[in-house]
Amino acid sequence: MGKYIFKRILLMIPVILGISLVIFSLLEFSPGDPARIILGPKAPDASVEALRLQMGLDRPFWIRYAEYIFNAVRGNLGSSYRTKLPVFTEIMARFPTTINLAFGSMVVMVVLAVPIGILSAVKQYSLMDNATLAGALVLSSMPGFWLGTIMILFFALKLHWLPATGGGSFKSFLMPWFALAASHMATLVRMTRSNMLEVVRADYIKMARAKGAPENRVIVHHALRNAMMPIVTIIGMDFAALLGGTMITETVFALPGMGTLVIESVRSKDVPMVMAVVLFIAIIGGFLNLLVDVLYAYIDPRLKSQYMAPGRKKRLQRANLVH
Amino acid sequence: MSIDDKQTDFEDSSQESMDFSSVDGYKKRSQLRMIAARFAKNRMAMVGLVVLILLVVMVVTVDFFFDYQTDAIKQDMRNRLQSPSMAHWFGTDQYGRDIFARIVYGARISLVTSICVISISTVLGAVLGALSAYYGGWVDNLIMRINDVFYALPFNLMAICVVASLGSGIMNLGLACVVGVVPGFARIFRSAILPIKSQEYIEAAKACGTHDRRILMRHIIPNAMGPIIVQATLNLAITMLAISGLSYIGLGIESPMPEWGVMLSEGTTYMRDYPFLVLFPGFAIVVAALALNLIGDGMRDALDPKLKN
Repeated sequence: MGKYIFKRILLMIPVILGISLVIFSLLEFSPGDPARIILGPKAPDASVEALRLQMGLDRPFWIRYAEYIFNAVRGNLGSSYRTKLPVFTEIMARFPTTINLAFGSMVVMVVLAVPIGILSAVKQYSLMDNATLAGALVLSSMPGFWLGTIMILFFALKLHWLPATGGGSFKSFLMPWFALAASHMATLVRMTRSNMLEVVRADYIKMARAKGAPENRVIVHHALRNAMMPIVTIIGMDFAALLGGTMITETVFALPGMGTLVIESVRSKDVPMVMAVVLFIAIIGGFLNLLVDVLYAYIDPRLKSQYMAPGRKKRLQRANLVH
Repeated sequence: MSIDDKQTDFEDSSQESMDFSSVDGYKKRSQLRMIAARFAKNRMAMVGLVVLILLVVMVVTVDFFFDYQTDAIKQDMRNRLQSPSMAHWFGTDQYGRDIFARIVYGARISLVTSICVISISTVLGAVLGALSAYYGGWVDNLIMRINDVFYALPFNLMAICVVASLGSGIMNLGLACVVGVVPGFARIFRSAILPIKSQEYIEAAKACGTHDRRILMRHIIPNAMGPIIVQATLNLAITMLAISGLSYIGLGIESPMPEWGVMLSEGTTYMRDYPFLVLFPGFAIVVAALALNLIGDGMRDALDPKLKN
């Protein structure tokens, strides 16, 4: 297993380098001069040129890219062109809001969607099942920013139950969590339902029922555990998407997270900041995917045997404990 | 006579020889007709199709009822923020423009942009996926590793970086969406094409000396059309929502163009007293996305070989 994780981490390196090159090139070849943006449109050309020299913008693209990567590997992500503060400090100031938003949405999504999906499958073709499917369809067609706006309109402006903007308290995050989770929830409900439907028809479920296991045990212990694999994949992929997709929700609820930071930075061509945020999200996404793959092994013992050290596997095979 | 022509002759003659017309109850139907019949049986998909056709009719005929410049763009401050009435079905916005007219013109922008994005992405994804799956080896590695880089970034983040770097506007927004959609398509199409590559008829075509381009275009891609069509229709709604989302945060289509996301974003300032400013554009997005999702689901079911009977 350790070897597998190490190999996966090594495989992430070229992807991360590729992403850094794409973003660096995009910012490099897009119109607008960072020095001009920093000093403003009325600044004299001489000052802009001096700042360009000071920032090293006169040097060739590849040298600046190589220097950026060399520094980034040593933990120096540079300073923001806009605020002059170290990029890492600024990301760390914004990260809690984004991780809170993404993690909270994931919890809302799992807590609501998985049980609804299971119930829907267990009571297939019932009124509840049809209502769930219709609800999931509407949710998947509803943009998060509109749902957020409607929730602000009713729960904050009309009913005054929840604060409209700003983070901090549990109450202020309720609407953003739900708005961000909504469309992902729809997919998860449908996925859980269809997986459960496939599993409940399997022979081992008939077997469990035949030997007299209580229905709850059959569903939770036998069916759900086998239906969990694709569900965990969806949850893992969704968490990475939630982390990278918070910018619209953050804009709707005026939350000071990494999403709004990346929008502000891209607009002002703040290369070090954009690079750092994008790489940060890509690395977290990569590790989340890895975590999902490792989790598979714990959910499905059949897979665990594939990752075992060869010596241990042989011993267990001799004892007929694994195949 | 070339080898390809001979092969076509062989295919034609083999089809002619399989004449089942004498079998009781057998009715010869084309694959396309069977798929259409299965699609037509799905009531929800038909509802989606009807809604989409209505939208398309509205978009095509809107110029007979409204004038783009006068009703959707030009400001009329005397009529600002009027509630829905017979004169203005959905009311007027903060600049006195008719919301219904703007929503219908918005449908034109959203539908045309998302259809263009998905068409271009489907062609690019199919070509990349087919090349990657068919040739394998270093071609596969090269295409897929570059694809991995773009795939590793969440769609919104990638699109925001592209739009913000190139500037706002429909073309750049479309390009950003294509960059965001193609990696996923290429991966899915590659996996759909891989099993086809090892089929006997591909081997037969190779043995006949058929050119690679012809094998790809005539044999492989048509046989992988099922998953390609399903992905394309299901992603239409996602792309439409992404276009509105990017416009909402000011990184897509810009005011005064009547785009649904822009209308929503502008309406939020006045929504406490005039909720229709945000309700109607939002409904329009939901209805259009719902119709596309229903059609996508219907296509998936109609093309699923498991549900054939």
